[in-house]
Amino acid sequence: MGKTINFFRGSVTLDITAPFPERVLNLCAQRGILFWGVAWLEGGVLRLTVPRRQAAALRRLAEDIGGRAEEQGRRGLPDFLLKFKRRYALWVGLALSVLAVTVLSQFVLVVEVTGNERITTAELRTALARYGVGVGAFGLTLDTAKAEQQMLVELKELSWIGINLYGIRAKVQVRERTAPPEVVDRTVTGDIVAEAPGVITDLSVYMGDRKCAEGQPVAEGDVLISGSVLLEGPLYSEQDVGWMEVRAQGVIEADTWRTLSAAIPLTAQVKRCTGETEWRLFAEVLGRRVDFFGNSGIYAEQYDKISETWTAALPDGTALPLTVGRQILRAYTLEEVSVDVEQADAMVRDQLLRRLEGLLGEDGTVLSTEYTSVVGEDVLTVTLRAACHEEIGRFVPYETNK
Amino acid sequence: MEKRRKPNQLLARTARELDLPADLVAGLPKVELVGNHELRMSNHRGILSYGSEEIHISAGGFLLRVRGEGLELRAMTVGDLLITGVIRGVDVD
Repeated sequence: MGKTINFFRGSVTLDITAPFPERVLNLCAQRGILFWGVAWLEGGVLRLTVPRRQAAALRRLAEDIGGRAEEQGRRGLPDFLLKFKRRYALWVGLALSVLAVTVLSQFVLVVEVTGNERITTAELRTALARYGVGVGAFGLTLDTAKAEQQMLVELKELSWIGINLYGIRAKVQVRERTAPPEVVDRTVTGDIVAEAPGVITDLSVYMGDRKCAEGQPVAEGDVLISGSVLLEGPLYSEQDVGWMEVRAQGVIEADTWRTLSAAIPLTAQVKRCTGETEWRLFAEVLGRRVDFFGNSGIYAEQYDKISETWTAALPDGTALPLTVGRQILRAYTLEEVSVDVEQADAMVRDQLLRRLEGLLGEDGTVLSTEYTSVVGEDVLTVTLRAACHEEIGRFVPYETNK
Repeated sequence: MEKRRKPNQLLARTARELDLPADLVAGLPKVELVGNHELRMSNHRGILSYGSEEIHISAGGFLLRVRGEGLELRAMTVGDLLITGVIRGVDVD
């Protein structure tokens, strides 16, 4: 405890040379000068340590009795800090650090969004920024409760939102509404028809009258499950009751053959840089962009904008709202050049396959593919023939059918 | 600052006769030894000589000689003092 107190108030060690050094101790006690670390050195020199504030009094005391006091060293916080007295840059940096901790820490620098699945984070961030919860917002004046209410009103898919400020971080937790199950309107009657031609491999009828069998080939538009159900009469009756219209339901899987084709011109317009390049510097601080116009001027219609940015980040990788960048403006002209046929063919084939997968959906599979490429005068035409396995039933209501 | 009181023989005798604490009534020195490492003294009259093996303290009508090893005057006010170290003996002259 004593060492701690001495550290904070500072201490000075002095060597007292006087005719009667022990008198110094008695006078110190009389004048209320605290001392410790008393050591009797050779030659009648007395070494003792006193608090920093009482060092001057001890010097005067030594002079009063005809002696002298020589300082041997100083310890403690006050003298340590005095070493930095003329280091103005240090004090400025310290002041800025204190300012950063006290003032800048009240600004929102990071917005963290969690709990969203269907609503994108970008969508949430944009909406939050519209209601004041964005990078650069001043936390003390931020009405998070109001922003929460406004968010719930704007985004119908949200069932709950919580905005909490932790220093420079705004943690936004959301819960999305549970989507209601798809309700089949049984009052709408109709048939299930074939969406594509194929050979039926599996047929499950939930409601309606089966119009085809497994292994049977069907054409596009053929009725597979009819919504018109015959109500047969009782046993041994020669007359049926009549017909009833229902909503046909079932799953029909079939092996199908799909044919897709696409064409691409053999010439294309490409950009050719004219060599005229200009640039401008910009900075984004707390979401506000400041342009420094460099050597930029007025541009023609055709030019590329390329931005090179550097964003400040914390050691854990969290990006801070401070970005410095350079925007390069590169003028170009359009030129018509011929396309490499092989590359174009590969690109179109890839696109056709992706289009086919989109048509089949998640349940369908591609069994085999066959491509045909025809190079015309200025067009490359690619045809894809694919054997697939898919669900081909499509409900068609009677109103539309008729 | 605590004021030093002169020993008064009359008061000392009175305190002795009335069985009162002489250090309070007559301002006589009081020496307290805690183990052999700490010596406290009240109503002293000042240090006469100082060393790591021997310290002489004025007690008014007599001299207190503290002997030992590594003796150190840890604290001292106008009325009290504290000596630490290995105390081998205390003589009164």
